[in-house]
Amino acid sequence: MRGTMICGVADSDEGRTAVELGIELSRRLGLRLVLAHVAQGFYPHDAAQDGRESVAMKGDRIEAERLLLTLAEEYGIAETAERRSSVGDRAALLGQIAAEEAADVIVVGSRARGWRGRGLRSSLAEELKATTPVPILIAPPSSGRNGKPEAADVMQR
Amino acid sequence: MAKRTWSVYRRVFAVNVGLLGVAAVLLVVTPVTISAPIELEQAVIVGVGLLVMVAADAWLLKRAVTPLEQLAQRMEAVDLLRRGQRLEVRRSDEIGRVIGSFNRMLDRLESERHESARRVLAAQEAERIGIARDLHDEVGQVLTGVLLELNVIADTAPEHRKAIDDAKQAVRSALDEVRRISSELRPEMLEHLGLVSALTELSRSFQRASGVEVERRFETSLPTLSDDTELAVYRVAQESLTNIARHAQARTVTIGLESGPGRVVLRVVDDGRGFSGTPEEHGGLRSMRERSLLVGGALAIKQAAGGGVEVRLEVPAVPAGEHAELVR
Repeated sequence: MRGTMICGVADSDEGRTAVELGIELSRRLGLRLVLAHVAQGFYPHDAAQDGRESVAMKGDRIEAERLLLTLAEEYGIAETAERRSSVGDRAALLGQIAAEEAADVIVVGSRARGWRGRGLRSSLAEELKATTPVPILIAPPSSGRNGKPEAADVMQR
Repeated sequence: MAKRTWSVYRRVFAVNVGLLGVAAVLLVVTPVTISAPIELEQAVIVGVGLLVMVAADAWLLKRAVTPLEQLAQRMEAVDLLRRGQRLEVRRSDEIGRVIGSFNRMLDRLESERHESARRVLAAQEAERIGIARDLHDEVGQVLTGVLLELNVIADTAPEHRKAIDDAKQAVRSALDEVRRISSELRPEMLEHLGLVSALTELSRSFQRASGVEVERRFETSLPTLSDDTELAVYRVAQESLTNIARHAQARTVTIGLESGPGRVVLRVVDDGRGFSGTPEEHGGLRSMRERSLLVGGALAIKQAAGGGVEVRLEVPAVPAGEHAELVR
């Protein structure tokens, strides 16, 4: 066990790009891969812990668990990657998961930004900067040629 | 670096001035006139204008106060048992100053909580050792004395042998229970034989008491841990097994220790009924978090892949240089 990589995933192109980069890097570096998905929702932060989970919150949580399982199966990592899901403030909870899992790095997806799409935009990475001291790796959007990310941008703490 | 922004008051004032200004300009440049009594068409125009202004006002004010809402939400979510949660100071207005003060307050609270938790846990351990010693030395001795007395009575009153044998059996059971409780309170094996032996004994004892099958996966060469860290790992494993016995309805448990560069990971995984959502963090789980926090560890309590619960504790090992110092 050489370290832990958290991969913040979503049911979107950016989320899938993050999964692809996470799988590739975790294999090369021998890192434990944890797929994490937070269903964004405005619920009391301690609602689930106090057993006050509402129907909507429960629905979001089940949907988040299902998404993680679907993605893990789609990429053939259902047996090897661990999965963490949660419901609420995505940046705060992803930071919390990273702390609990002693993560060494967090991978998130991004969209193209700026002239000819050369820049990267990741609102999640921006939000995460405030909630976790763990370095964040931004997976660039797929090039469209081979479906794999071309390079990665690192937000160094 | 916080960017310079207007104060909340100036932004709210500017929004209202802007809207009133737009309304005034529209009144001047448009051919709309209001007659008395007002006509239906004019009333509709005034109504629509009012609605548009109210909607614009609500939208602009929402943008002005959203940072406050986000701040309140983050403040509510901060948990002192999960260190390092800070809010980014992005602005120089009142909200930025509140965030800065809040971050400094968190620093102080975390530091104070760390110190008080360390004292509480140290006192708790000392008390446990005291109770274990009293149980072993006082209650254990008394029960042993009773056993010897019963032997003497059995020799002198053979007609009551059956009743005396029953009493002796009850005393032996009580002695075993005293020894078990004593060893749980003070894990002597941890002090004398190390973490792996202590966890092996703990899991065997758990298996005997609960009937749950235990699989042990301990790596043979683990990095050195400090005494406090070993105790934290042991107590977290103990609490996890207690929770499994009480709530999990599990058939098998896997307990393991694995190493990484400068760290050791404890995993306790059961195949029980698990939990839905987030587990309720009261007494035992909070205590696990406190212990993990005190030794600089990371604790995750989550759903296991097989449907039960997995407790994962990652703790830092003693750095190699410091270990050499300890050995010398």
